[in-house]
Order: sequence, then structure tokens, then C-alpha cells
Amino acid sequence: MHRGPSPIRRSVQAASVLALAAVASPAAVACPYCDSDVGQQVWAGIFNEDFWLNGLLTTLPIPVMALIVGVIHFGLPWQADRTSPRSKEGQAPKQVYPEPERVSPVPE
Amino acid sequence: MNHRDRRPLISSATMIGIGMGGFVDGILFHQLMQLHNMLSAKFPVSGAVEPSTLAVNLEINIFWDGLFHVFCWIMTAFGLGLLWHAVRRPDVPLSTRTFIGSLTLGWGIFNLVEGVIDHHILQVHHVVETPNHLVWDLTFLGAGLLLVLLGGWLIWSDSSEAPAGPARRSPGVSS
Repeated sequence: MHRGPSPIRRSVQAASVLALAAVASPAAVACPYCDSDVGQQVWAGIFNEDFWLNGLLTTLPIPVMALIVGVIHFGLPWQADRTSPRSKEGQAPKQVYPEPERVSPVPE
Repeated sequence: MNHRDRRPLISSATMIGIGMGGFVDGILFHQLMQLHNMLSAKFPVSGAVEPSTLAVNLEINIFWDGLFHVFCWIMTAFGLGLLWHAVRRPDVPLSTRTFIGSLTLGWGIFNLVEGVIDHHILQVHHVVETPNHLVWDLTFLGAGLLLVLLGGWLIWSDSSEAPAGPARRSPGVSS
């Protein structure tokens, strides 16, 4: 029956991989392309004084969409007469609603 | 009669629809068809652009496209989180019609909001970067409006009595 490599051997292998990654990482970070003229122009075109403005332009629709979903989920702020059940997971429906007049529409 | 609250299902699926609508835009229009990029009006990648400038502008747009996809991913993940909470609530009916309608609604909301803000107000890009881009931009808005109407109709017309989440997995009920 094949038992696979011993724990010591696996540790050596893992250490070798980590050592190789540690040695190789500076080469990866170096990014030869980034040192090229084009790479430097790209860097200058992204990380400049317009960076935050461009970021804002890119992400501006997101809060608007999130606001719309919030209105769907919670309702409009001026709509005070909304049932907003805050049930916990697994709770029975009867325990969810504290206002019994909403649960049973038939007057007693 | 138990009160049934569809809002958590609608809001979560709408959020997922927004995220997936963003992915449709990013994958289909930005990458596969390459009609525009996030800031392609500011850093043009078509028309009379020198090859060296084109390469730089493409790389810059790839960065901002990546940020756009990050936020699409976040919206989708947040929607999945909301959906997970919704399906575990006993008062939320798990209606397929409402779910599909909400996904459609979300996609339409994405097209409308992104179209109005990015294409018309900020003009950071257009659907097709050509001189007659208005036609394509309005078509994009029209598609968004149609999706919102279709999704809204699917949700509004849903009268099914779909079982709520925990009812489907109550102990003692064999499946």
C-alpha cells in the first residue's frame, strides 16, 4: 500500500516552494514591461492628480444603485406606516410581528 | 394568515441583477465587442489615435475597467448575502417569478443609472465611441427601461403562493 511522502519530505518540499517563491518574487514585482516607456506612461496616466476624480467617475453610479436597492428593501424614509419585520433566522412567523392588528384583519 | 414579506427577496435579487448587469456591460461591451471602455471618451482607444498612444490608453482603460468589475463583484456578493438572509426567513416567499423579475429589474436599473450618469451626464464613455453615439446611448437607455418594466411587471403580477424558506426544510417533511 502506497503511503505517500513522509511528513519530513513534505515539509522539505513545502519549504522549497516557499523559498523559491521568496527568491522569485522580486523578479515578479520588477515587471520588465513596467520599466518600458509605455509602462511608465501608463503609470503616469493612472496615478496622477486626476486619480481620485477618475475613481469617482468610475464608481459614481454604484451609490445611486445601492440607494435604489435600499429604498426597495427599507421603503422610503417618509413612509412611516410600513411593516418592517426584524425576524431572526428560524423564528416562527407568529413571533415575527409585534402588532397583532396587522396579522389578523378581522375585527374582534 | 401569516404576513408574507417579499421585499427581502426583491431587494437581494435586484442587487444581484445590478451586479450581473454590470458584468454583461463589462464583459460583452468592454472586452468581447470592445465597443467602449470605462474612460474611453477621456482616453480614446478608437479613431485616429497613434499606436503608441493607443497602447497607453488601452492599458489605462484596463485599469479602470478592472475597478468597475470590482464594484460589480461587490454588488453581486452583497446581493448574495442579502439573498442568503432572505431565504432563511420564514416569512419570505421563495417565488421564482419574483426572483427572475427582480434580477431583470436590477439589470434594467443598472442600464438606466449607468447610462444616464456615465453616458449622458459625465460622458466618460459612450456605448459606441462614434460621432453618432447618441443613437446607441438612447438604445441602451431604452433597453434598461424595457428591463425595468418587464421586471416590475413580473414582480407585480406574481400571485403565486410560494412556500417560504424554512417551510421547505422543516423537520419531519420527507423530500
